[in-house]
Amino acid sequence: MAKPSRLALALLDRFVPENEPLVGDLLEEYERRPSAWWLWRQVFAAIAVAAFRNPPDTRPLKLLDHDPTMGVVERGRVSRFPRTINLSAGPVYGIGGVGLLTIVVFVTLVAPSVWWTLLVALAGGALIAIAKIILNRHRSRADHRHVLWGPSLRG
Amino acid sequence: MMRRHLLTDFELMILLATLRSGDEAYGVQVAREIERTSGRRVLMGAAYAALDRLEENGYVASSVGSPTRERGGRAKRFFRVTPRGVKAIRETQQALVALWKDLPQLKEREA
Repeated sequence: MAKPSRLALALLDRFVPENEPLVGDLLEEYERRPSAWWLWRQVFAAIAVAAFRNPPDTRPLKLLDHDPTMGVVERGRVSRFPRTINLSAGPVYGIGGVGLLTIVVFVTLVAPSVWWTLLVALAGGALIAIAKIILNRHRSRADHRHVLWGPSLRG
Repeated sequence: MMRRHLLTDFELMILLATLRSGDEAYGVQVAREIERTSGRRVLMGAAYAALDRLEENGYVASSVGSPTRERGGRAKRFFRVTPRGVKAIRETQQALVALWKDLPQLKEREA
């Protein structure tokens, strides 16, 4: 009896989350019609559908996608494989670790002055944020006094 | 007029095949039923995606069975159509029949 391609099954394990029933169905059907062409067609289609339905998570700062207590049941069915997070991914959707590194190298080689612009923008943003925090604190103190003493006792 | 959620043709086929497969409907059985009755080749990944979507909408419910040897130790996922799913099938059928009615082109072919 022909055995199904291990590479095909490994690809399913890698790219299709919660695939146990699907892989079982493919193995069962492969017993009936042992065709490599059929299996690869099914595997590529399953990967394409999964990629469309579950776009890769690019949040770099979370280790697990689920709260541990919620990991057991998801959407009313058992979910034993919580999706892991790609720690090398960038915060921008579609730009992973390698993509981000390529952009950094490209910008450094072609237009290094962009980094200075970025630095100035970051510093400006930080200054604005600090100013807003100070202003908000000042305002909240004034509101607190207003609540305590009433409008007639102010100024 | 009340807004109804009509099923796509593939969703309708999946639900009807699940109903025809009875209590022990699972992926392979549903796919075989569709292939047998319509001649349409079913991609298992697409069938599971449709079943997931139908479950999210409350049209089917699923439960996981025990692992079997012939499936490489993988468990089956059984599906059953919920009363809401049956209602969605009926509404889709009514909409299709309403579109079907009084079409001279179709009547000529019937004659």
